[in-house]
Amino acid sequence: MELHLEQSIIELKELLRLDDRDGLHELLDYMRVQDIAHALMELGEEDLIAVFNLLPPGRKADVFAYLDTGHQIRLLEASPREDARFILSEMEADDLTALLQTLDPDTLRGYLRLLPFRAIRRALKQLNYPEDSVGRVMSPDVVAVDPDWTLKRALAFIRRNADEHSNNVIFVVDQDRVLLAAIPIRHFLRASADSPVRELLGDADPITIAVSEHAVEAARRIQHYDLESLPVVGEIGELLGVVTVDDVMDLIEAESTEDFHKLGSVGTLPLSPQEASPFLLYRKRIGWLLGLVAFNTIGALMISQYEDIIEAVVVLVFFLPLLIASGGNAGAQSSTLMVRAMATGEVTARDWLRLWAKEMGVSLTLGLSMGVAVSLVGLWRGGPEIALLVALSMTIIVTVASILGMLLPVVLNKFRLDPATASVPLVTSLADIGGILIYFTLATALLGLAIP
Amino acid sequence: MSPTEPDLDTLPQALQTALTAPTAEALQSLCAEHAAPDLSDALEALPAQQMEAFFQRLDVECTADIYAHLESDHQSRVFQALDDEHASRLVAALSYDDAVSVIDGLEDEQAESLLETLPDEDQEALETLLGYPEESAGRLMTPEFATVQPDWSVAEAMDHLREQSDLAETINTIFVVTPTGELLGWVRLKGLLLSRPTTSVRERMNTDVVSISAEEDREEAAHRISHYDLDVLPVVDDNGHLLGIITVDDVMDVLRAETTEDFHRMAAVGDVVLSLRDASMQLLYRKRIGWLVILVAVNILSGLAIAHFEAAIETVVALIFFLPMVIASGGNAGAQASTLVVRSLATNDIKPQDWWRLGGKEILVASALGATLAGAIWLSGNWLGSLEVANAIALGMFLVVLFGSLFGLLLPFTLTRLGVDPAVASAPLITSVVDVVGITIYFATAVAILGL
Repeated sequence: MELHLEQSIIELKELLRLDDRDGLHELLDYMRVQDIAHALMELGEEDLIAVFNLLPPGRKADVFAYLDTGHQIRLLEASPREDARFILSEMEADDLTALLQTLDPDTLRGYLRLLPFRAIRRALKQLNYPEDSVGRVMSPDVVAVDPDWTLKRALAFIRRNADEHSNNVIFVVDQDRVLLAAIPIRHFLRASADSPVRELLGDADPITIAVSEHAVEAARRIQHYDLESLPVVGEIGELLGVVTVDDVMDLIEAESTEDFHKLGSVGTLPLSPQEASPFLLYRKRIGWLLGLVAFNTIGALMISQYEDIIEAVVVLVFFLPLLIASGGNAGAQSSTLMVRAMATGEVTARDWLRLWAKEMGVSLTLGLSMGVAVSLVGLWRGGPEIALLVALSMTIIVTVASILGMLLPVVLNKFRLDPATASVPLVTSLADIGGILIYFTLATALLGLAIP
Repeated sequence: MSPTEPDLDTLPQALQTALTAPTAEALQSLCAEHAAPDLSDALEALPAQQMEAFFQRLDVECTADIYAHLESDHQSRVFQALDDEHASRLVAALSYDDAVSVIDGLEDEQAESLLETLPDEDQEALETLLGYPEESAGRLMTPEFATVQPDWSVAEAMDHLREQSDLAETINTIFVVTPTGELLGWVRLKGLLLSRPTTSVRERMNTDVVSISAEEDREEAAHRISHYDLDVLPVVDDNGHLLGIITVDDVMDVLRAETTEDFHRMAAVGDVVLSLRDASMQLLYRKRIGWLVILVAVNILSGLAIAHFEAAIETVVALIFFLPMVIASGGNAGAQASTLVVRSLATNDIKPQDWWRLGGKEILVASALGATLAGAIWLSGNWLGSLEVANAIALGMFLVVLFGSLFGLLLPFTLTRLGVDPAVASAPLITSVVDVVGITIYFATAVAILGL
């Protein structure tokens, strides 16, 4: 299938080159909308617009929903007003909100003017919820039935108000639209058509999420309870919308990507590196790099304090990069384990002390093993005294860096910062400075050199 | 906030209290009141003995679903604590896909003797599933699904589904097959409920089916479900016969596991199968020491590189002050580049063939990054050293950052070419290689410029 998509893209490009309109129509008819969207994003500006315009109006709207916002905006700008109006009014409310929230106020106003009045109100209401909240990602059009209706009437009502967001459950609400239950549709199979919906209400309260909560919490809840859709409620429990599992999968992927980038000390990148301009990439990366250079200047200053010792025993310098790099590596390992464990929710506040104690044990054994390994090199390059020095330094540096690596995400979290924030390079740089200090202090003590 | 949420924190204590009661009544009512995923979380917070007692005292009817949600190491511990007969009944009560993952965690002999105690039908089904390659779509699927035939009327189909609804994992989406089991299309249960009883299934059937073959990688199954926004993905053999189904919740777990694996690899940690909280000290040590020792070996080369420039160091000791800063910056820039590429490859954002395009852009970006950092280090060079030294280290910085970035960008692509997971291009690996090469570049530049 994947091969299939790749082939379709090659064929599409070939047909474009030959300008074979019939061929293009035939190919597009045969492709799925998700694949067309995927293929469109691989094309250049002109081809993108040309191919999109070949699609029949109904499919245009479907394909449009699967494009990323950058391409959506480019197409809207290139489309005549009438087409843009049609596409926007055909969009699902949650997809529309996702697009509108990326626009600046002026452009936003321009596009809103194209929409029917009801849709404008709905869009503005959804944009009113805080950024990254459940309210921004939910689908507000949700059909719900009354508990006193018969099943027959409920089903007829659902048929009239065709709703693609709750395929597998039916929401039941009271007069104030307070959610009473989410009935799995399979329960309708067993019941008689003339019995009231009320008979199918279970004892358990439905699993819901508040509209103001963070969207990531919706993802967590859907994953935890294996749900296909999660109803969203307001303050008194009134049904406001629904979040579905496919929305959540995109959300989880985006969240993981953000964590990855933060761990690698890249700023939040709204685009894929493929599309991002060199200037954007530069901006997102230079901040941390410069910050870390400033940080490492402390290291340089510290080494300069030990100038006399270095001149006296040059062999000390040989082991410096080895020692501080090893500390950084061990710290990177423990901070990544911790960041990921915190992101998946398997480690919580209660566990920190226990994990910390365990890390002490693990890092001490890691440090000892590496100390033994490096002492052999010390013996070869500098003699027994140097061997003892580097082994001891290695053990202490690795232990300290590992524990730092585990603590740093916890500390960042305490200060309400994302634990993934540049943990790896930050730990590495901390390990550099700490390593230099530990190494030269031990050297002065062990080798009986004058303290500067 | 879900209504059940407030007492989630107290659920472990409630379980503990119920466990001390002489009868199982209190336990049973807790099970009835709470969702299985919450109960399994609460049990995981209890001491091992109490968790085992819970499963020993209650019948598999209540516990099977809770057991299915436990982490795999807890599953095997509970399994060992049950007597053979109870354990066999528990596994028989699980859905096949969950049973397969339990059996996967057992020793071969134990798995064999367990399979023999199961009913023939289960034994046969499980053996077939276990026959598929590890991490394949076949291992992930469940063979329990509901099907209907195209020539049936909607009323006939519903009668049939009523009988099957207890056996199948999900009947929200029902597959339409020929009498010999060939997959033709699908219908939604909701669609059937909303149709006239006399309509034929064929009329309601959707023939646009996305499917996967049982031998394919489970990651591909996950990709297909998220790409096409599916609830259920049918698994077929070479002749198009329906073998099983994969549901979206199975796939979310796969995606989470794969992402965690990538995170750990990026930090040069081996695959940790357990959660960080539960992993033993020995396991954590084993998973981390391998890469650390390999990286020590790489870093020993950096010592040798320094030794090579001993004369230069003795003449201008100030060069050493800036060494950690320069090589750390190169490593950091490389880690950024590899993080961006590894994540984009994992989310299918970029393809292995894109390397030259991204490489070209990276030269631009890295030059700008290098120039900025060179400016910064030139200032501190003037402060701690002299103008000449500042010039030398600034040029060194520029070249090392350029090298680090390009190396970090290209290594994941090269690894993909070689069929190795690109996430092996971890930050520590990149940092260490950049250390060695960076030291050489740095001193070589200094020697050339300062004429040493």
